[in-house]
Amino acid sequence: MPFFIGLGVGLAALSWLGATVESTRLTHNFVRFHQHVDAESGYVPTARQIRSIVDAQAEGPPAVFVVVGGTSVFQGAGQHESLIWTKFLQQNLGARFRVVNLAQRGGRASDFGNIAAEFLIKQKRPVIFVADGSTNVFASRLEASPYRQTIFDAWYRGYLLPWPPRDRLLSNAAWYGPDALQASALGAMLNSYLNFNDFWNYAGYEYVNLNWNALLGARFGRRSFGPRADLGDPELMPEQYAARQGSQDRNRVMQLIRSAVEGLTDPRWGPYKESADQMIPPRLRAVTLAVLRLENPYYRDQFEPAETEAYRARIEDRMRQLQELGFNRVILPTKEFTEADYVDGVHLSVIGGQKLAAEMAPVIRAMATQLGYLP
Amino acid sequence: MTAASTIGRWILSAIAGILTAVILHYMLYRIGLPLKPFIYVAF
Repeated sequence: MPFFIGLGVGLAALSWLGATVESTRLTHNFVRFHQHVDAESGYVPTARQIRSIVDAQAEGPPAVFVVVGGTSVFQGAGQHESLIWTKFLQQNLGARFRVVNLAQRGGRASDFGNIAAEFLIKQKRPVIFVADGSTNVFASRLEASPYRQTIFDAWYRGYLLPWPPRDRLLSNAAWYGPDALQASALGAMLNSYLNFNDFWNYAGYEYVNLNWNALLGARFGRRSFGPRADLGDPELMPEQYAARQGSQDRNRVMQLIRSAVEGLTDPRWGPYKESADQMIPPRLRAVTLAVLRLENPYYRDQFEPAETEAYRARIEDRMRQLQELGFNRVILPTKEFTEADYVDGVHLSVIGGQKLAAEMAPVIRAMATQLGYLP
Repeated sequence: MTAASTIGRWILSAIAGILTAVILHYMLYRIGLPLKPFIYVAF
């Protein structure tokens, strides 16, 4: 009997702690979820952590939230945290806007940053969601997302907008879904009561990382077990990227880009329009700036004329599909970018990030006016 | 068996229960992490 009392008290105490702890070092100095605090290094942020970051940003005078979601391009891969494009976007937009970068490496418009945007809409706060995608995929199939656990977490906590097609998928997954979804759904369901992800993510960030990962181990040796808060953002400065120029196997990159372009009908990507329709609720689409982006022109210019034509037609088709779904704006801002605006095949350099921020700021301001957030 | 030893055993059992709770809580967290490491391929 005393054993079970101890077990119950222990679980209740840990659950309570998980529901109350908050990493202020993460929330108050937040720039982005970098490589050492993301799924790549075995750290899957929780929906409550996303909420804490947004709440921390809400302190101060009222402002229009600009929540950035989507892929590693918008996450700022290729840009040092002090020169990340969302800092330039914040500078361009001014104090009446608050930019929060919740895009993820390997993320999509529908599996992470949207949680913050939907939560803010539910709270009736002014928000514009900005998310990027490629010609292959905008909203991911949930099975393919490394952040599916976070989406289930958000759904069980009631942070997401109601949207029957997505609700059906999320509610059925625990019992009838494919294995990949079933485990995540059941885990999130249990977590909504016991808060184990919140508690151990907090412990790993603040005190001791108990989840050894090759990425951390290779780079930091014994520090793999230190607090994640002590592992800084590993992105390089522009001069370090410049020194690495030429080290890439450009033929391999060309092959990858060509296969991505040729494989537009590859079933791996899932149906483009249908995935976006299922995973992004109309109320979120109404405040979303959907951004399609192009690969580095160094590679695009090597396409055969027929490939270029097919690629252009596909982009136009994707943009039309997103517009039909009711996204507030669909833009293609990287049309005039040069090779210097990229650090590799797809990711932007600091100069490219500055150009992106400058192109997007007026669009976001116009949306804020149109949505009645600003006069 | 004295009252002191009964209380001692009771406390030890309760502590074992709490330790089991910590292990169980941590195991639930660990099994939720992806089995296959997510490797991001940048190009």
